[in-house]
Amino acid sequence: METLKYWMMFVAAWMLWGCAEEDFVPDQYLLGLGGDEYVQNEVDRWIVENYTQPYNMEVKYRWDQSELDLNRVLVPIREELVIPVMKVVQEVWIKPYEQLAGANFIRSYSPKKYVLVGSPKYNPNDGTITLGEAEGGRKIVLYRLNWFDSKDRDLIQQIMKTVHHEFGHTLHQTILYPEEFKNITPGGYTTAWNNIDEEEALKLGYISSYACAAPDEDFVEMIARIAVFGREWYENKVAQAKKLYENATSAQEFAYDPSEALRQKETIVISYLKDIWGIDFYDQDGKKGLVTLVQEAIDYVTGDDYEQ
Amino acid sequence: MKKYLFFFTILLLLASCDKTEDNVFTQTPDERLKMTMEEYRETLLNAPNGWFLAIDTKKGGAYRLWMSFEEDERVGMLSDMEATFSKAGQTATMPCISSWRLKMLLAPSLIFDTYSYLHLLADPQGANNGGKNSEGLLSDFEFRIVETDNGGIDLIGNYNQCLARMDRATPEEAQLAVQGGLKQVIERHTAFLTENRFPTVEVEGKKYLMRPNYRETEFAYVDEEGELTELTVGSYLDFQGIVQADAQSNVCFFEPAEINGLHVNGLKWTDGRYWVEIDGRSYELVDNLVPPYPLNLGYNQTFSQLYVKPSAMVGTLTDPFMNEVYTPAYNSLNARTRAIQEMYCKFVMNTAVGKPVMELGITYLNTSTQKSYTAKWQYAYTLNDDGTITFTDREQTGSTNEFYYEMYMKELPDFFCGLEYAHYDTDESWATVEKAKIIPHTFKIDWAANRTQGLSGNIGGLYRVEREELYIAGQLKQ
Repeated sequence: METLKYWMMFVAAWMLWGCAEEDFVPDQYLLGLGGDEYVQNEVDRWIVENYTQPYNMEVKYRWDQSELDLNRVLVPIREELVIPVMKVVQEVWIKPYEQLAGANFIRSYSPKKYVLVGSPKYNPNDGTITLGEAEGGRKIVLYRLNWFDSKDRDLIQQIMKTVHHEFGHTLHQTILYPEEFKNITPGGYTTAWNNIDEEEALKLGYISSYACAAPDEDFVEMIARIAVFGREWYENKVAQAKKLYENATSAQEFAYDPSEALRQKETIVISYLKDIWGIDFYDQDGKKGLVTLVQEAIDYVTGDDYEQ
Repeated sequence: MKKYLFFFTILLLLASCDKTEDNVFTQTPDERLKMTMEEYRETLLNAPNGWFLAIDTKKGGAYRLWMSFEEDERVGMLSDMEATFSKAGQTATMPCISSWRLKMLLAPSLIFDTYSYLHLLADPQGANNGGKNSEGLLSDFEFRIVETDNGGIDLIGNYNQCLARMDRATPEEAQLAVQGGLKQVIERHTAFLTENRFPTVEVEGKKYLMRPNYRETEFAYVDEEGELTELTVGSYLDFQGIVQADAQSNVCFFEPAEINGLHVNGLKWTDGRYWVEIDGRSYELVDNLVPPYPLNLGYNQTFSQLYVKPSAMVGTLTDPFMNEVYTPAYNSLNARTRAIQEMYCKFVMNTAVGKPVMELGITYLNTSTQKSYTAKWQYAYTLNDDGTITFTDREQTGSTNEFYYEMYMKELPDFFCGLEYAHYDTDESWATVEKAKIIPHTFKIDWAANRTQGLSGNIGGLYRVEREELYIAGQLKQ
């Protein structure tokens, strides 16, 4: 038995001696290590200067299927449209927020990656198309950019609505809006939002049919639509809701006054932006608010003096 | 003792472990990939006159582009798209410059990463390429490289698995390409197709219709069960048709197509005609004048009607029919200020008898009132075992159009089934007419050659079996 002990010890010692520690030095060549490699062109340099260096943002315009849904047919953006699109994003999204919340605001909270796609994203079955998407507040995908024309105000508003919409998600994903927002019009949220037209949505107290999709969407639609289409547009919308309510033919048609619901939502949006982020949504004490700044920026980029 | 032996064995086993790695290759996979990518890069750049790239889209057949790759990952392109889709703009003469890259995806891939003529095909917006919204032509712009040392480069699309083929352009081809050659090649070939309506190849006694074409080559044949099989294979044209005088372009396939067990691999134009490459042998392609498979004309068949407009079918309606039947009838009716305009032979159901009949309609213009009228007859028929058809009797359909004027164009209704009358009084009606003799005629139903410039569609004919040169031809309708 004693001998066995010695044997065991000998074996253990021998096994320990057998262990050799080798430092792993990755001296091997690894293909693709360090990211995509490509010859930098003017567009790439512009992006580095205007997005990557100041805001640590990546703008991916070169095709990368792995950034996108694998089961949808999509094509890249036209190269010559990259700078014009991103310039408009700069003017209509970055600059207004910077002016109101300081340069660090965009640096801290902006999504870190923009992915630009040329074609719309067609959704199967329901015939709708998607114009933009955000992923966890870190990545924004913009679609249908090959249609871009800075003189086309409607189109600019469509694109910028998407940008503001997705950034709105980033904000509420960082700090959530008050729970009471979800209880203003709790009954109308539905996944079949695409079957609800704009007027029906308005009758239920939603700013758009997409706002019916979920409270989160409702919240960011409020911010994005009012900012991009303007306060006047919103006031008309509320007035229209009021009119529909007052002209109701039967008592069953409305469970509540939709214009009131919109007003409540608006109030929450205003106080949320002010209290949490220190941003004035509307003009305050002679200072321009977000809506005015965005409107002015849209006027500027669609104006005759603007150079793409 | 046993125990020691056991431990000793364990020790021996442990000591025999060899930790050194034994690699089949001297380099790591990444190093070898890098080398491969560099090889590919060199190959792509080593084409002073650029490349032709043909891609077999899933929905629109093959498209061909000319590409010039530059060191700085830029690529200039021209495309033959405008030849069939004018909304694309001047793709054959206006160069489009975008970017390319070699990237290690699942396999070393050649990718075109910004929008170009190649992406037009893959664009999900149907308005950009004629495809369906949400899919376009189901094409590709990222390709894995399959083969580089067979004269060109074989590629497969990463997304839709479209086959693609790259070939180096010669200086002459490159020069033609920048002058719009990609479009001219197609126009030149279109001329060939209008002259050769039913190109046919005969292999072991069986005839195959084979229409060599850009985008898609069409095949049609009757299989063992007697069923007509039609299929298409993506194909593209090389530049031979515009480089050489009096020549046509070779028609290239992406891979051999299997047609009824035969492996067909494109067509070559030599000695003034096309030769089809089938299982390593060349077969001549000849214009058959008519489709090389039987015609189904009749009640509830592929076609149920022959439409005959003699003024638009000069040459296709042949002399025996014109001289013996049509012209005499036309002249004698014309003497009554009525000019025959068009005719039809239609297989319809006669609900009164519960049997299908062949209805002959002759439309004539009253030249003084400028109004048109149609005279109609219905023919009872029997289908014979040998595939022929016999018209056994005919009846008028009760209008004065035929009752008053049959005698002035009798050659036409009599062509199918002759009648001699014992009593026929135009003051009375068809009901009081007495037939003295019925002369049935038997016909073979078959295709007829189209000999008229500008006449389109499928042409069929009814041939008198005892005199096959005597037949009526017309456009086939469903």
